[in-house]
Amino acid sequence: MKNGHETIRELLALAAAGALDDQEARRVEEHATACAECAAELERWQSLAGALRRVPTPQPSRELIARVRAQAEWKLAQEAERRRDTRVMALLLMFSWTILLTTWPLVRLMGGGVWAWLDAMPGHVWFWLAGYTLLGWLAAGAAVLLGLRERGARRTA
Amino acid sequence: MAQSELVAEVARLRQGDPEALGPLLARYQNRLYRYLLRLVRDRATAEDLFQQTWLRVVEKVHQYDALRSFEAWLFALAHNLAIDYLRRYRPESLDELQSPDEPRNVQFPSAGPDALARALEQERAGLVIEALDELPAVYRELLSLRFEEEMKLAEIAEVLDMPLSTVKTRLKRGLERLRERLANIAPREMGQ
Repeated sequence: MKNGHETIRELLALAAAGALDDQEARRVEEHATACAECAAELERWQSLAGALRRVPTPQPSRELIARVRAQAEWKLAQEAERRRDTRVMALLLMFSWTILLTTWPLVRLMGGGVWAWLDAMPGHVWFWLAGYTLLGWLAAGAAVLLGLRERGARRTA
Repeated sequence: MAQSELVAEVARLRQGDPEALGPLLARYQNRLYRYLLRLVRDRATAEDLFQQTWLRVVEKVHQYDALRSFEAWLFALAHNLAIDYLRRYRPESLDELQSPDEPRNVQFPSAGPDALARALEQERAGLVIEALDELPAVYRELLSLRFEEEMKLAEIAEVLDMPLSTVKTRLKRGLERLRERLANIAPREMGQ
C-alpha cells in the first residue's frame, strides 16, 4: 500500500500539467512545502511543462491558406446547391405523389364514377386527365434526375 | 476574436456565407496546423489533413451543435481524419493505442533529472521537439492538446472521445515517457 508521500509523488506530473482537481492540487501543494524531495521533483515536472509550452509553433504557408480558403468556398457553394436541390426534390416528390393520389378521386368527381368514366368520358376530360398525369410524371422524373445528380456529386466528392 | 464573434462567424458559416470562412481560418489556422503536424509528423500530410479538415467543417457545419465548443468540434474532426489516415497508411504508429494505459514501472535514467535540467535550462527547444516526435502518436497528441493548444481536460476528452480518467492517465504516461526520452536524448545531443 502506498504511503502519503508516494501517493503525492504520483500526482506531481499531473500537478505540473494543471490536471488535478482543487482538492488534489491543494494536497500536493501542502505536501511539497514540507517535503524537499517532492518540491524538487515538482520543479522538474514544471520545467518540462514550461518547455512544452514554449515549443515554437510551425506556421502553415500563405499558399496553403489561400488554397484551403478557395476550396472551402467552392465546397460551401456546392453544399448550398446540394441543399437547395434536396429541398426542390422533396417538393417535386410531394407534388407528384399528390397528383397520383388525387387522380382517382378527381376522375370519380368529374365523370360520375369509374364505370361511367370508362363508358363515356367526354373528350376534354381525357385531355385534362392526360395533362394532369403528365405533370405528375414530369415532377417525379425531375425529382429522380435531381436525386441522381446528387448521388453523382457525392461519389465524385 | 471574442467568443461572441466566434459564435456569430459560425452561425454565418452555417447559413452558407463564404465571408465567415476568413475569420475562422485566421483564428485556428496556426493551432490546427500545429496539432496535425505534431500528430502525423510530416508536413505534406499535415497540409493535406488541414485542407480536408476545413472541407469537412464546411460539409458538416449544419450538424454542429452550437451548445458545444466549436474548438473541440473542429479538433475532433481533425483528430478523426488524422486517425483514419494513420490507421490506413501507418498502422504501426497506432500500436500504442491498443494498450497504452498498462501500468509501467517508470525508471528515469540515473542521470535523468540532471540531464533534463541542463536540456531545459539551455532552452533547447529542438530537443523537446525531437523527444516529442519519438513518442507514440497517442501521447504526442495529448501533450500537444494540453500544452500547446492549452485545452482543458474536459475539452480534450471531447476531442478524443474518451473518458476524463483515461485522458488523465494518458497525460501522465505521456509526460513520463517524454521525460524518459528527453533524459536519454539530452546527454547524447550535448556530447556527454
